[in-house]
Amino acid sequence: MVQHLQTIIKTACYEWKIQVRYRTTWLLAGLFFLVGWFSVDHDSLSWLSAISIAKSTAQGLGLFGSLFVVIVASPAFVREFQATHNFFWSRAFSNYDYIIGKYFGFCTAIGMALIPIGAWVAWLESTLHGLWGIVIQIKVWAVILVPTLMSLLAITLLVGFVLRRALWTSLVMVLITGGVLALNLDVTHLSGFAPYGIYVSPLIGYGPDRRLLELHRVFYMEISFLSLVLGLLITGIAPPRLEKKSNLIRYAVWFLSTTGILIMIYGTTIRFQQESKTISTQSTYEYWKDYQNCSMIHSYQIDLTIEQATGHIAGKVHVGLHSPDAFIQLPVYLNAGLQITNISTSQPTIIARVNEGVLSLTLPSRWKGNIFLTLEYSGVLHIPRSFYDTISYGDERDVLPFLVGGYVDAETVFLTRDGNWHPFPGCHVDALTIELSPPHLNSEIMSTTATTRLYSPDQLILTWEQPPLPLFIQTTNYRTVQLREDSILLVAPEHITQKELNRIYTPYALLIEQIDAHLRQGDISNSSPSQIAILPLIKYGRYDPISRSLFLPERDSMLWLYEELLAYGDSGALDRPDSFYSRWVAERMMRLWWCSDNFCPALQVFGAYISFRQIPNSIESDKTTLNALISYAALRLAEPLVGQGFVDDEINIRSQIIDYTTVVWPSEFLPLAWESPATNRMIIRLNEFWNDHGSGSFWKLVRDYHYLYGTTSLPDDEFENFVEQVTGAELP
Amino acid sequence: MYKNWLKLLWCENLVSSPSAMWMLPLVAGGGLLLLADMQAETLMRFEQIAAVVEIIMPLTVMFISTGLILREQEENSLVFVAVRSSLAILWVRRLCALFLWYSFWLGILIIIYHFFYLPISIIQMVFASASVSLVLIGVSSVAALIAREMSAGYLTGTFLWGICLITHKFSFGILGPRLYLFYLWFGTKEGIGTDGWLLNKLSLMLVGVMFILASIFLLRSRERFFT
Repeated sequence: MVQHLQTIIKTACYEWKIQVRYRTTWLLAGLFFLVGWFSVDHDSLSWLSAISIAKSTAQGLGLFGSLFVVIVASPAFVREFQATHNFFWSRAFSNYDYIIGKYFGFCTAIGMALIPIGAWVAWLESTLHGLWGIVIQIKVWAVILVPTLMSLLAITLLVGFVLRRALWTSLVMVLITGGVLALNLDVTHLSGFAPYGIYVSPLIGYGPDRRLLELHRVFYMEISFLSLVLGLLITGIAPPRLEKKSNLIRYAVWFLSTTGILIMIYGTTIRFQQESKTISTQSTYEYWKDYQNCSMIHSYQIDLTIEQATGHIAGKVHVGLHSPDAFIQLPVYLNAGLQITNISTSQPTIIARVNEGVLSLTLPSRWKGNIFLTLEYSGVLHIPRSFYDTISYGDERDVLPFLVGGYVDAETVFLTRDGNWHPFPGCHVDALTIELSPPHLNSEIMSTTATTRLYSPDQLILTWEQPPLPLFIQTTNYRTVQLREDSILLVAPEHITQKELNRIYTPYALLIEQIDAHLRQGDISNSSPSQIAILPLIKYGRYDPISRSLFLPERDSMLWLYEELLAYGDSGALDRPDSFYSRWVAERMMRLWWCSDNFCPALQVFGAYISFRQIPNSIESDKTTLNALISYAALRLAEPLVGQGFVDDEINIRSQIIDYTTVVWPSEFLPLAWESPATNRMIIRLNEFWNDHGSGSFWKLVRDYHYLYGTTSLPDDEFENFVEQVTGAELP
Repeated sequence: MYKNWLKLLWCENLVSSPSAMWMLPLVAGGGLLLLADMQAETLMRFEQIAAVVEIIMPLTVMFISTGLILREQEENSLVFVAVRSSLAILWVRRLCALFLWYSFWLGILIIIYHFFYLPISIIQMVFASASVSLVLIGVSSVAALIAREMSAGYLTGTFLWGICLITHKFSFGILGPRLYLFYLWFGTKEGIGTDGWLLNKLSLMLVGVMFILASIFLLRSRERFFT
């Protein structure tokens, strides 16, 4: 055994020395550096998280590195087979040890060629995110790059031993590799030689893709192993020098090893396909469009137990219903990974069952009174890819919110109130109890409104006896940034740089104060500090005015807008890009406040990205008055940040483009400026109302409209009546 | 006399790149697999033909051409030939022989496509393929001769080929419609049209010839000290 190991190590060293002497190896290092350099978006560097820098460089290097390494590997692996090669065999050693040593020696040489680009990325990571960024880089490169390149080298070795010519091997491998990479570029799931489109998050790592990624990488390591074994088998059959004949036992061992590896590969493939199928399922999403059935529910309490280590969830909901009919049907929108295990009712004469997502209740004849039932369910949350994928699927699917509403892993738990981790998402929850076991000791809990909190080494129990926070989160991974005196930001480490955190999120903190001043009902004198949390997986933000908590998506189109505005500002085409950014933040905050009581993602469609393209008709119907009111309120909300001059400029621009006969710069940077002429006209009228009657009347108008009409958009004449009714003044 | 020339060219192919004798017909034969696809519409068929003539065939000839001189240099068998012919002339002669052999098989393939797959302009396709091949040959030869290693040439040529294939939109943006390698394929795939193909191919041909001239210069400068 020691001798075998010695041969392997010595051969590896010699192979490495040979490769180091080739100029091609240094050219390879240069090309790796070039590819790695262009894999990073230098314009957005300060907004890139540590994990995204590591991922983009690893993917670029895996993509092009796949082509490079097969070219350099082909002559190296078949060197001894060339007719003109004079190889002096100075002592007896095993052919297999020699080949294994060559393989590892070459892998080491490729690793060496990656050092320059690795050092540059490490410097980048440490400069932007500290030393922990280097650890993340090593982990991500090890996961994405190493299995890719090792499997390719093993396949090249196998093909080389079959073809025995460097030129043929290079050409075949380049054509196959290039073809597979080119053809797989549009595939959103993990496939091909490098994983594409995998979800990475500074907070939850690979998140829901973790299992799929593990299987994918294990598959390629198994392929490497199989290729190596087959390559050794071929050299056993046709060695480059005279060898002892193999006996039957050796052939039997080869056969069993190959069979074993093939079975492993088959098992991994099957599990990968099952996992891929699970996350590819399309869930129905109609419930969030108009959930009418909540009117039957008069009480709704949830008890939830979460085992963080396994991600297992067990829930018990106590529902009180009232209905005049003897037969009730209620849709149950429970996550595909959760199954109802038990249904019990307050009266044995009431028959209740759930079939194909519908709860049916058969009441005794002449039943009077309320019905109480308890539904128990358990399982593991399935999170379909379409809810968090970065690839565009088209209009309607693009605007789907995070319907699952929950994510659980060993380090992080978060739940949105309206997710389908309970059977009736979208309905008002009266009380919620969450039991976490075991709780992490150093966790931060973003849940200041919990009525009770019981902590023990084995579990943590939180109870809300009033409508719970829109979102609950517990994680070991957050860091806290003080944005202002009374505003803190909770964000994952190595997300974006401190300087950019302040620039991007400080407007939100200021606007929360503005909302408190103009829109919040009740006493605000003892308000808790506002909290802003940046979360993965959610598509739209949520705002809770009572606790002053704001939740924003980690993948945010507003960051893209910020970059665009800065670019225009740097080029001199746009004055005050910061003001435009604050204007959009105000638009978003206004809409988040508007939807704080009700789940209305349709209103959130007016994000920075969506406004530059057509709104899908099935989601957005005519909401001229509502959009105009919200947009003008946002403009006034942003006034302390942008100044009166900006407000006047926006109104002037809208007046000039009102019939869309002229284009005025920079009208396309204003929210909804190109939505419809009617929207612009209404905004101008509201501005005139403000000028005539002051801010007090306007904000009363906004509060009352929100309270009475919610997301309904009144026709113009009804709106005029409403204005007169509420404020006593006419709308100009 | 012509017979002697043809014999010479045949021998040059056989000696310098024996693989070319069967590899080019084999790859061209592989291109006939397209004939099995009876479902594709006209544009798709044109795109597939463009992929074969612009992407696959030039890569093959690039790989073969890089070893025209260097393979024998690495195997230490070039000395005999070197003392009888100037290396530059030897290389050009071999390159011409390879190109003739390549054009022959490419022509057969395109004629078969024209009659059995999709009526296309044979001259357009041959010209398109030849111009891309010249660029790849030129670039890989220059790199190989500077580094004096075949793998360096393969690496550089494949890098250019890979960039234009895998990140085609990015490359088109950088190189532009004049210098992007796979213009016909990209124009059909992205639906932007192929009106500027002639200018594109002429530009590529010019660039290819420049690189080949540079290779000749590099060969001449090393003639006496090649080994």
